[in-house]
Amino acid sequence: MLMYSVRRLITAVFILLGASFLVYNLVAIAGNPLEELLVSNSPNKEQLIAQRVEALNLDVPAPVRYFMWLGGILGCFAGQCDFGQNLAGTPVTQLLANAIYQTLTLVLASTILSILIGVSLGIVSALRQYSALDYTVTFASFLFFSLPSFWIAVLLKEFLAIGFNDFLRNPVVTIPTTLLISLIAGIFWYSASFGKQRTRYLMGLVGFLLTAGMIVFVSATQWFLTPFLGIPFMLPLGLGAAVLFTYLVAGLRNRRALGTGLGMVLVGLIAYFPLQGLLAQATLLMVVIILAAFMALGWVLGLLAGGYDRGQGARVGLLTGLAMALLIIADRFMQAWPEYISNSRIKGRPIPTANASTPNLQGDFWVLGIDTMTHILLPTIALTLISLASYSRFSRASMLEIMNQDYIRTARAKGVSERAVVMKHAFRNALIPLATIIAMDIGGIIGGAAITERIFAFKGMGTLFLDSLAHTDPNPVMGVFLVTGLMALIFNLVADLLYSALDPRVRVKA
Amino acid sequence: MSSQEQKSSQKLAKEPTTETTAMRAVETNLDIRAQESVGKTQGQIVRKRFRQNTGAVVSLIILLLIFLLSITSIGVGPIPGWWRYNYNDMHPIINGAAPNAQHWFGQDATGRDLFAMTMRGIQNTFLVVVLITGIAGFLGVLFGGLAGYYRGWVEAVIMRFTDMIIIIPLMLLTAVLGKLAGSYFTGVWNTVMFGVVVGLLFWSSLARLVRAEFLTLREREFVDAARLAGASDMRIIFKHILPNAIGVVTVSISLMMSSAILTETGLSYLGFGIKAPDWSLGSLISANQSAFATRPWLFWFPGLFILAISLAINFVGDGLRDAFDPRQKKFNPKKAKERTAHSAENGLGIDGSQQASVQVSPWQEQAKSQPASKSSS
Repeated sequence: MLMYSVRRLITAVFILLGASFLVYNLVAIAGNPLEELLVSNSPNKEQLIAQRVEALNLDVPAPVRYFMWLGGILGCFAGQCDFGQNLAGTPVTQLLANAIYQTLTLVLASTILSILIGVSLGIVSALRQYSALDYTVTFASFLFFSLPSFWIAVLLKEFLAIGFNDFLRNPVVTIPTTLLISLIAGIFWYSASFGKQRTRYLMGLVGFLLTAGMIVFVSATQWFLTPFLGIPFMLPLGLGAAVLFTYLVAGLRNRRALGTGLGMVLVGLIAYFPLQGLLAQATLLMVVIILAAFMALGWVLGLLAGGYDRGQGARVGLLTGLAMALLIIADRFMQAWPEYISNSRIKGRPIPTANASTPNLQGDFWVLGIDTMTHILLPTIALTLISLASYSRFSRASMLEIMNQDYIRTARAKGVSERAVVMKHAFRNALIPLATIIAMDIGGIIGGAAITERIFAFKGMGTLFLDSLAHTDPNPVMGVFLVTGLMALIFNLVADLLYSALDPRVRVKA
Repeated sequence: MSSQEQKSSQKLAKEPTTETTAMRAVETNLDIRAQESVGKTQGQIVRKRFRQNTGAVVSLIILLLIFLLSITSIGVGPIPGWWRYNYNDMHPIINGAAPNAQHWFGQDATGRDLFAMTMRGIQNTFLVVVLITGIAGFLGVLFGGLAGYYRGWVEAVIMRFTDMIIIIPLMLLTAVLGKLAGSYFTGVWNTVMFGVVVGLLFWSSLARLVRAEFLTLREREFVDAARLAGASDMRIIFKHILPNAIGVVTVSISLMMSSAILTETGLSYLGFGIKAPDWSLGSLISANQSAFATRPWLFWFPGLFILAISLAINFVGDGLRDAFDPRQKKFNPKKAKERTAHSAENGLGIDGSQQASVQVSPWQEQAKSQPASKSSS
């Protein structure tokens, strides 16, 4: 395994060298960095040109200049990185650092969301193959897959952002709209449920009533202006999470696991009050620590509860703890919401259509956090829709193949419950090919989403690349390429290693 | 009742075990498949399966209709079409430039006819997509085939080269090369060069798939037989192995087409692909997106056409995959129902619950009716 990794890394270095040489020369052919100066009328034109030639070594032919650039890059191993500078004289390392930060804010949430939603949709539609739900998910996947990102992004801006902002001025939902939305929700629940016809009608009805009730509640309490969760919402949501996680991870017959989950809900509700004072002066680090503490507490509680399979209880506790911590933090964000929308820089229109943050916004951690969230909301929806499709298609195919395997039949034959067959035998194995795909996609994250970034005016990697290319600015282009190429190669290797680690049938050639 | 009849009735009366049920299901499945394919070539079977897939056939027809519409309406090159306007002439604005009987899709701010522009965009998109998939398909099959067939150092060199192409994010390299192509060529040649350049970089994933397919096929007996009969390498590759890999190639090329559409429109949207005065569906949207509030039709029509073409190609590709791959049986909903019925016989629905409303398969009805006939004898 080690030998294999080393060999792959050495090959990767050579591939990167070859590719960067190619790209460097292409960029050099693509345009002359002096062009804008040559056509300018400024009096000190000659001096500016000489200055730029000096700064970028333009008097050296491109293939040779590549090696000078490479020398700067290799300096990283000596502790002194030199990626060169852009036309304005800013070091590329600094440009890259900013761009990577913005790209990660933009892409991280959508990657996580699309993996979670896409994989679960794919699994459910595989388990209900040829049902109405399966056909709907398949059609939706194709639809989202075919959506041009620039088109959906503009639609989201026009309808979602502006529509929601207008709606906030008078947040009352009319009765026909309520009925329509609830009807759609009811039909969704009907088609997603299974079993006897009567159960399915019942599920549809429950979905309809629940949605209608929620809309009436939201409308009556002006929830969007003054949102809150509080104990009345956290209790049922927490209980729901505990039961769901117990059902998925351990099965409801495992009473100790269920007890752990319910215990964590109780712990969360009790901790809610003392935490409020602490959260008033929160930092990002503190939020992360609180999340970790809740997860650790759940894990320990599960282990203490014991039983024949302590691991299951521990996992239930961990997941429920995470859910409770997220609920508490969401509640705190909601408390800051009125302050945010009444801010003089927001003026009651909270969903922006461009940029990564509101300029000159003053506020504490929560207000600034909300600001980031509202800004990444639209691009996140656009990116999630687009990448969701491939995950759901892939996990569906993978799950279908696994469900036809002999060992699944064996498991059923020996009387394993359907939950255990799906979650333990099938789902875990279906994740193996998915893991490699996900690893490769994470490698591609850093490249950013050039089109989405441009539409929403994020200054991420894609924008940096496109802008530099438009100004024939060679060094930033090379910087972006180097970072993305390196990440892609590393995660390609990680994907291969992961595959052989997860599936013992696959051996890497040592 | 004769002894023969009695024998058969006894056989039927025996309660079927799960195992026999499963075996019979497999047998009937095989029977159906054998009947379906008796006396037919592979091409005929695939075509028949494809025709049974309504969604795919409808999508194919829609694609053809869109293509014919774009070709006949504004004509190709010197040949005029039936639409009276040109895609770059400016006309006086009628009806506030909104869609009307004169200008079906409305006009843009300078009075150009959007219908003609959209049709031109569709023509260009089709041209670029055909070029991309043609070139990338050829290169992918060639490189993947050579690497998979010869293995050894040929494979090593080709696959490292493929790695190099793969790690360079497609968007970045096509942008650089698209820019190059734009500054050396004009008019329709710009469009052609754009397609060629993107095609030259689009083959890497296909090459990997074809290589994997060739790696397994080259170990098969028929390849050994051909080699023993004295066939040359080229003959084995093109006459013996490639026809067997045609399923993988066809399906991935059709899916390549849909991603080629999104790549072309995306690059044109960013200003690297087809540039004004010529039009692509992507550049139409980028030119008009700021006018969304005042003239939404400028934005809707090109976008809907991109969506329609891409969606239709995806469905055709899915239909092809089903037609080529008999393991994923999806053409016949009746078969699917039989499968559910089969699992219900074992007392379990697919979700593990007792399922009541299932169709009973024919042989089970026979088994149920058996006790009655037995008592009569």
